[in-house]
Amino acid sequence: MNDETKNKINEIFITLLDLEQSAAQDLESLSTENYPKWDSIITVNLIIALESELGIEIDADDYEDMNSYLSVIETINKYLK
Amino acid sequence: MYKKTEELSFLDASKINKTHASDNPDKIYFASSANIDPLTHFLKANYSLITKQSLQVEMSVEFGSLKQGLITGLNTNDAILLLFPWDILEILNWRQGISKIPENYVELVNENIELINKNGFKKIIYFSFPIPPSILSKEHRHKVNIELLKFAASINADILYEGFSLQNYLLTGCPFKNSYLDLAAKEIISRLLNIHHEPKKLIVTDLDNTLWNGILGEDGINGIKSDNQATGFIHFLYQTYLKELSRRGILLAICSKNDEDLVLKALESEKNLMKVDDFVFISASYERKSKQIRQIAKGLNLGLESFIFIDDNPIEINEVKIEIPEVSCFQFINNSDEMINVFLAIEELCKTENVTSEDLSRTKIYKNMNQNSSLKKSEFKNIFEYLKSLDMELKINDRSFKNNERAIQLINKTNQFNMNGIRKDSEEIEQIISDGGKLLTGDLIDCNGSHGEVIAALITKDLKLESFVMSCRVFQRELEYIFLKEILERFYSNLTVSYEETERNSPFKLFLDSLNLPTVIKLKTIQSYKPEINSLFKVKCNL
Repeated sequence: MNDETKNKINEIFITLLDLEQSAAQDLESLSTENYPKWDSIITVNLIIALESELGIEIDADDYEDMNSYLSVIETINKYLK
Repeated sequence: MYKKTEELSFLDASKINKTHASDNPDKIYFASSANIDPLTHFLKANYSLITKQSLQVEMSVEFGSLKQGLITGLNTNDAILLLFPWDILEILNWRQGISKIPENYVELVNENIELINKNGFKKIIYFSFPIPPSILSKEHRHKVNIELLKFAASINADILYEGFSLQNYLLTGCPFKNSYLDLAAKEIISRLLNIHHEPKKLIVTDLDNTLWNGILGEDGINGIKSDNQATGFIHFLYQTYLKELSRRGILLAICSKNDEDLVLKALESEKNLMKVDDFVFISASYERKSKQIRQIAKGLNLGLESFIFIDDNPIEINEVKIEIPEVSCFQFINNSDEMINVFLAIEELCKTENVTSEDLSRTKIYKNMNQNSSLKKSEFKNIFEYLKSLDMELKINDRSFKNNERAIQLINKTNQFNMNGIRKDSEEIEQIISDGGKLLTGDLIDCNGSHGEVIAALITKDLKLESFVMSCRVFQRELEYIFLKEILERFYSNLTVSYEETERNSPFKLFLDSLNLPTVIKLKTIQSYKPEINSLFKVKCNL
């Protein structure tokens, strides 16, 4: 994954979870478990945002993996190949 | 006045929502049995784009059954209802599994319609999405769909057809395709703000392969067709439609790269339905079309935003779109099936307000307009960028000794881009070659496929361009420059031009003008006047 893609993903997280710009470096620890604001509605919006910004279509099978920042990155990597 | 806004991505919408955030937003109530949360993001952004105000979306019926929501008596008087087939007939809800549609479904539908009517929504938008299969026959299923549409029409709903995603509906409760969310939001917001465009006042039409089939300068008056048969038929329809629009008060003008005298003669001919008098302005020259259109606007004292421009050539369309974005452009498509949509979209723009009716045909038109939306916006800042995006490739061939049929045909059939109009049979050409000359041609390939051999040059031993011709299908692409540049670079240091004016070859004169009328063309000549062409083409030499 190149920097541009990674920055876009970070920006999506920051926008959806309403974080400060400076939070970018702390994103790696984010998950639905430790961040209550990240609910199922956010996850749906996250999928829409990732699909429209990165021009991919995420399989339904992957939806349940979209529960932490790192697993989102891992999932997206599959689609960028 | 309503201008279609650009397509928004999720982050675009976020940015807009952030800049417009306010403590005192406008509020709109929505009622829907579906989860429309993902849609609200785009509703807000599109609302702000048009009104410059922020929007708060309130739900008066939450995700669940519409019937239940309505029976529990929420105040929906001010709400916008987003209606789906399964709201009218609950058994059609995909999320409840697939089961048989009962025989008395019309009664059930009536009950729900009554309930909806009683609640007095401000506006109803019906999404005519696919219904689940059942043991009903195909005809019967079709009938159910029609019944649903009839009911939707009976409650004055606007009807939209596109954008269903079963996957999203099952997994998230939101029935829209992700890629359709922005468009759905635009459709909803434009209806809600009751935005109507100013009707257009004038249609500017191209001639060759638009008003008629064929190219006047090449095929002559007898070669162009616009009668109601075979290849002329779609042009016959187009002419009758223009005449009808003219009867309704829409003005018509011509903008064509042609010789004016010939155009006037063609319009006088028996073969054409439309005559000189049908047009308020005839602009026939070899100027850029954007310039011609500006002259028409000035001549008639009309605003360019009231103009529609119709042309078969995507290059011309893009040139106009880039130079005059306020003109609505449509491509004349030589496929009658696709032309239906173009006609309907033009009709939509020319329709005056008092004809407006919210009926089925109107929504059909909206639907068709959306399909054509790629024609509406131009993503390119200038014509150079557009040409660049075409990924053009020139393939140079030596046809001196074999496969020269197409080259000979080009030399003998081309009128417009023809250096001297001199016809040459294969014997004369073979003589020039056996004396030490060359016959070179070029194939043009772009992102849409191959255009075939479209340019040819016959060069004598003593470096004289004997013939230089190019098909009019590939005008405006700078192909003539790159072709000449490449052959100069590869074979000759300079070439003598044997230009002669003919009745039809002013396009060639323009080409010479652009190089400052040289009698001898050198590599340097082209490089200094057209330095940009190198980055427009990939060149392959097949020698």
